[in-house]
Amino acid sequence: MTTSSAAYIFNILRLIGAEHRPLGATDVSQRLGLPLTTAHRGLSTLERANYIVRYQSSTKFVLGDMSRQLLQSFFGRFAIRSLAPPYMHRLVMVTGETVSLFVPIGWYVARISLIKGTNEIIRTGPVGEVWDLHRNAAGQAVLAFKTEIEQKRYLDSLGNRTSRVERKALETGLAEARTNGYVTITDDTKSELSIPVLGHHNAPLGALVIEGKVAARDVNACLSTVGRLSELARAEPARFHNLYDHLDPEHVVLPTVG
Amino acid sequence: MTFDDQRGQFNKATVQILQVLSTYIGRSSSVGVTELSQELHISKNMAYRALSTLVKEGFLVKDASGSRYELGFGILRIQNLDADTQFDVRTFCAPFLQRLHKVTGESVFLSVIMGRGYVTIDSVEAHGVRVSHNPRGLLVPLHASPASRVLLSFLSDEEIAEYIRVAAPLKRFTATTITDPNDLWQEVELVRSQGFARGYGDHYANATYISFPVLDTTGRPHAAITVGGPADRLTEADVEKLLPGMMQIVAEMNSQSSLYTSDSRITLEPSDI
Repeated sequence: MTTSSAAYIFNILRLIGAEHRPLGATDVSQRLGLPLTTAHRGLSTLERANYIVRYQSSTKFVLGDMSRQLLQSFFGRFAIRSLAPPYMHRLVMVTGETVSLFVPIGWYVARISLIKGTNEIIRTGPVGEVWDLHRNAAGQAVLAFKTEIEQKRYLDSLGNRTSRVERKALETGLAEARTNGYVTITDDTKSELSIPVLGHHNAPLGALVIEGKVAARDVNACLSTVGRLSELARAEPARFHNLYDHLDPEHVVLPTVG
Repeated sequence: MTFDDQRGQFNKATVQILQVLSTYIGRSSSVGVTELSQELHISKNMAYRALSTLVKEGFLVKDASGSRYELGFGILRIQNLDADTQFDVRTFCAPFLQRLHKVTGESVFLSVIMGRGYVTIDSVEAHGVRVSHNPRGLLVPLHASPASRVLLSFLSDEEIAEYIRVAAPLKRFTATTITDPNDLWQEVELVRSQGFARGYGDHYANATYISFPVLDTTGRPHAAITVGGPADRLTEADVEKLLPGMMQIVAEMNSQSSLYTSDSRITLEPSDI
């Protein structure tokens, strides 16, 4: 059982996960530069362990049950996910919009749960998608409540990816978010309001995002609802903390959509 | 050479590593080398090498203690964002409600936990004289009715104790409602062992009910499905005859619902803590 013997098989697994269509041995061989027999062997290994399954009884493969279950187990690592649904339902009832729960992982936020709104038109991303902290409302809500040192470290990590003007605007937005307790982003394609879920010492455990326009009269009701959720989380700090906070964010590298 | 010609040729060592990763499904905490070797009946050296490989690949990380292993963020790389990973319990259960209705001819209800009770969110109603839908939004406490007892029984012992503490004294609805906490714990054990709850007329009288859990990855309830009929038509003897067929449908349903983690949890307001 050596790392080298397993490495190509994990690469095949990641390739199938990243693809938007079923893949066969020839596809895998070409995409990863592997001999065809090696691609066959890798697929057989993954099929044997139930990580991939045949697509409609063909010789092409898609992710199997094991991958889906592991993803759900990973989401379950964030205890706030089990506490949030009743409060997410309340936000849906107040606004009619889709509500998502994002959690911080390194310098990213990942969407780990969503409850669809009651409005006719629903515009949202899939569960599992990952954003850079500064690129969506949830990330900014989380970033606004990180310590000054962490904020500066993140902004410094952006380097040339943001101009001096953009960085200044971001810093101003984060200060406003900290004062207001929420972040709003509105442009031609979307409107989002995000409220952080704060745990022990006001550390951000995640953020709820209302994915649509929220009437000014409803904002306080939304803040109050998420405030109650934060209160519950703060009451049990041993349970509601981020299991991945001890990792150096610089060492967490994930594919983003933002 | 076709793919099927290659069947049977797989990397046994990597299958074992993948099996180690699979043990994290439903596991609620990190795992150590010794614990894993005992659980899988493999040597400590083999367990260590498998865990190290999974860390290197990003599927596991060392936890804050530095000596145990936790699921890693690399799991996010083996997902297809095109697939709907969100579990919608009502959509999922709809075909099973229809099948249970077909084999029993009676009304079938789908209920989920809300706060300290349950609400019915979907149903298939029988024709003619029948058991009808609960009034929309009616919150039924988690100790009265078979749906309640199924939902309660598959929560953790801590949550059940929490419910009993907060809901005390347990409200009586009929002469057979379980109001003694000790009797409720006995019922929890019975429901867990047999996999369903029978109606005792403990919430509504004059009807026969049987409830089954819709379970998640960890054995917690997504929801409860209840079959109910008028007592003079659906007798206890009828339920016994129908039970194997119903259990078969429920087993098939749970093999699929167990792919997903449930969001069911008794919710207490801050003032209750």
